[in-house]
Amino acid sequence: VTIVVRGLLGPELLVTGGLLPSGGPPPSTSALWSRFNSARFNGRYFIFAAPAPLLNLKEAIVATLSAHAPTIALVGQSLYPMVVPQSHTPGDPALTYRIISSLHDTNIAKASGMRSTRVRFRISSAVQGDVEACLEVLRQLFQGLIGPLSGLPICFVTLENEVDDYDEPIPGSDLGTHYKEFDFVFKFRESIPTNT
Amino acid sequence: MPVVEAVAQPGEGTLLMVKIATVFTQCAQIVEIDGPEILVEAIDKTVLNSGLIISRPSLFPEPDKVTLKALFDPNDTDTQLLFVTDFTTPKLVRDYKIVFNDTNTTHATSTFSGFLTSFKLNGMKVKSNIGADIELKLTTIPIFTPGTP
Repeated sequence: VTIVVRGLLGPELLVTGGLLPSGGPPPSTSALWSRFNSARFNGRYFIFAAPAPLLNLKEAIVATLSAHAPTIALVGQSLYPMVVPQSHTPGDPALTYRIISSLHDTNIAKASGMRSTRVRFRISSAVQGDVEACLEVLRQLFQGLIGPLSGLPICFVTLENEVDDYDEPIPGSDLGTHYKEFDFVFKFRESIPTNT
Repeated sequence: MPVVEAVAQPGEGTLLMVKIATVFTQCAQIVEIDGPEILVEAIDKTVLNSGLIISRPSLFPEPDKVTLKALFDPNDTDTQLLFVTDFTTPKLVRDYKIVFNDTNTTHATSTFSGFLTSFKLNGMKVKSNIGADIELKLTTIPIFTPGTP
């Protein structure tokens, strides 16, 4: 079975053409497949992405970073919410993220459909160079960004704050961990509640 | 025409374009755009036996001004030095366009024409960047064009 993936739109794979065995059924066991409508034509299944649901910001960040080659090269899939889990190999690069503030703009009558969210990233590694490189990789990706972030319509992103620090090693060990914390403020559209 | 619900639009990402020859070119390092401003003077129509002070709108709307704050780069010959060299060309009126950072495929714009009336460098001090305060006087009423999704 060959499936030609022609692009990635947010959480949805956009598949414009897939070559399957003639007469063969689509791989219905795939959860991914169930998200698409398909039509068979001369043994080719033309598959159209369902409308992508609006992601929340953290989903959009994770979807973007986990598919971003420079980030993967630095931290692999070690991208965690809030804290680095104990299962993570100590000293290996890890990137955590958390929201530390959010402002939902309003007019005098109701929500105005704009939100600014400050996301604090923390990159930790036994190698100081990894820490510096990660900030630069994310700065190149996010600072001044206008446009969709894995489907979430981003209006603007600013980079604020940068703090270095060091977690002391356990006694008798040399393996301390360098880390850096920095904030990106994501300004993006959100739906207006229909409660008024 | 479908009703489009008004939403807040971000100030960040707004572009100021100036027409050079026949091409609109983005003005570099703009940090603040104030305007375009349009004035309609209130004309006093009170007479001696009036019980109220009453006004009526002037029949002549006045395109007024746009003020800009920019980070000034004296090496940028593309757009920023226009703000200086245009002063040596009296009577020069240029076309300008503000492009709004909506999420439309074609962004909403405001277009107008105007000429430079003021340019002043600033920021030449410690812990600062060189900036410029710039003022344009409009010669047309700005035309606002909605974007298209």
